[in-house]
Amino acid sequence: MSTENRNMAAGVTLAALALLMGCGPLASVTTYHYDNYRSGWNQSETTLTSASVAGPKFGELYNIALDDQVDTQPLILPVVSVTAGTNQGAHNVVYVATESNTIYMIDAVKGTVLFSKNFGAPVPTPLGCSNNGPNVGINGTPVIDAKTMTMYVITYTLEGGAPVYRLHALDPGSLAEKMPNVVVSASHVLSDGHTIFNFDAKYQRQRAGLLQANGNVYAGFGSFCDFGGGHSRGWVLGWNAAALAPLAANQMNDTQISEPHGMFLSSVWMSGSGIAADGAGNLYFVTGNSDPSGTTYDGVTNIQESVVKESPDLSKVLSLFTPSDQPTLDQFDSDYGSGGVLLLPKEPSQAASAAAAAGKNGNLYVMDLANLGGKSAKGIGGTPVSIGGCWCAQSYFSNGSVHIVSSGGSNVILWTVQTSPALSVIQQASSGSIGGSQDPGFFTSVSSNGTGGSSDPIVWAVSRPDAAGSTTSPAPIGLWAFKGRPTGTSLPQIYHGTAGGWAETCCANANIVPVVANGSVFVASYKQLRIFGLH
Amino acid sequence: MNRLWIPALVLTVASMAGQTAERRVIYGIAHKVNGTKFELETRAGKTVPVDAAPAMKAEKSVTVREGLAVSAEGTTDKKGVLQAEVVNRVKSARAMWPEDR
Repeated sequence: MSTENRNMAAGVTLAALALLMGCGPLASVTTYHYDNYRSGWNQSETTLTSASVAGPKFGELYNIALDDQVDTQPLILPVVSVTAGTNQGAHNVVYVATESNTIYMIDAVKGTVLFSKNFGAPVPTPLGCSNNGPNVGINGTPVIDAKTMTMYVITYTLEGGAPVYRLHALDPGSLAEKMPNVVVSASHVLSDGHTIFNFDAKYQRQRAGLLQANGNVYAGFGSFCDFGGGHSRGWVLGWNAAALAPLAANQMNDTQISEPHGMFLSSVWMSGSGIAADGAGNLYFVTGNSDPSGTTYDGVTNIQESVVKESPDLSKVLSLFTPSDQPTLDQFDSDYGSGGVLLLPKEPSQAASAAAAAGKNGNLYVMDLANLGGKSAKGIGGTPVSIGGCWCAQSYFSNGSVHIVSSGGSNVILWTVQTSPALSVIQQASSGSIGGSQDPGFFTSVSSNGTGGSSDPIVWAVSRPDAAGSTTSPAPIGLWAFKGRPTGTSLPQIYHGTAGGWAETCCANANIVPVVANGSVFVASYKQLRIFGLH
Repeated sequence: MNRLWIPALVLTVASMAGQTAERRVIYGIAHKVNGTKFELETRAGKTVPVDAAPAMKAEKSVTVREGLAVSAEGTTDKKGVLQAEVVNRVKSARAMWPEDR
């Protein structure tokens, strides 16, 4: 395993101590989409095979009630020494953060709530924006540093009538604060060289999953429904993880003084996907739309509709890729940044050297990490391939060849990355429709037992609701599983079942990532966590 | 008489306020977009004139364009125009729209 691959596997680590639990080494899931490449791939799943998932013993084991909608991905730590609550001791813990600013610690094996802690009143319907549930609290997936055993989370609370973001460093065993939390604040000098623009929590949404890298914690910010576009700009902020001290620099994606419609934005939201990092610690994220005139892009003072490579200290944009149809994307609110960015190798066992990202119009571009390509109609893989509208993120796995799993529209598509004679992405197979009547796209993950030809990859997906729901009668969402090894040009379906519900079906997409670890599948939705496994 | 007159006035004022300030949320497709004004085609096929000027002034409006599915929240003026204070983008599928209220 290369150094890079070890970095990639950091999110899904094996805990030798887990042997005390009476089973093999256990996996942990400490960050969004399992690792900083945002691969969504757990390559150490030994219990769930395509045969067992297709069999009669696989199904829902537990349904745990929660206090609010969940827009974050569950995180998992095995063999945690739980020191709070009435059932203390060693447990495999799944952590779920809700929009009411509550974090739950749930026994991943028994499905019981071990402990929960609320971090303050959430903000109700910020600015009147309905691209969320009735509350906005913890909107971005937390991250856990398994070495220091610290969970980092950003809460959104209403304090004295004003919205406030706070970054917390918590003990995963008790959810106690390991150090004083800090109020998120920042300022940035605009492109005229003297005007100072201050971060305003009232207008900024912390939606992207948190990133822990380089000894720092990073968070991306966007807007609420593009409302308050004169006050809201895309930010990436960072803090020293050991002291929660803000980094000296921060990234603001639009530093212009004025724009035709006064809508700056260039947000970082990615439907909840996490900011990615390569082996050298460089950051990658995708930005959304800016002013609807479509005329404000220059690649320096405004970098909307772009994949951005950022230095670890946030002092410099190292490279970017902007689709040449950026003016149209701006004019029609067709954010490239509705999707996350995936880092992947061009060959199995290599370090990450490419990136893939798609947005609302469904064009998937592949880029070279060394030079993302600037403003262009093509990535290094040539003209983009169409995956279907993408409020989504790609997954990745390798079983002798490199595969991208796309989830635009309502179909899983398996792509093979070829490097000869030139880099290209070839469609290998697709699933049937998994439905969903919200914005197109959904989220996937992949489990396999190793990386070779016999690793038996399974692609997991959670579909968005097909009907309108309500708080009293949430619309069902589905858990789907497909063989990652195609039959001809099809991905055979091996499981489909109801996996929870969604209440705010009008305007808030269900951006639900299925988490697979240690023989279980975890799906968090509206006021519930369901755990699937073998009976 | 005086003891009755004051509550009656209060009731009358309250009733008038209720008539003019009834807040509505309507879902539909935007057509004939002209500056801050547009027509909203509801799920029932009716046309509701909307002026999004209050929402735009408060920076609580998406950029409305022809064919976009939106919700408009506000009060109806004497001319029957919905003075929208919030305009949200909603899902394209009409089946996903909540009930108007």
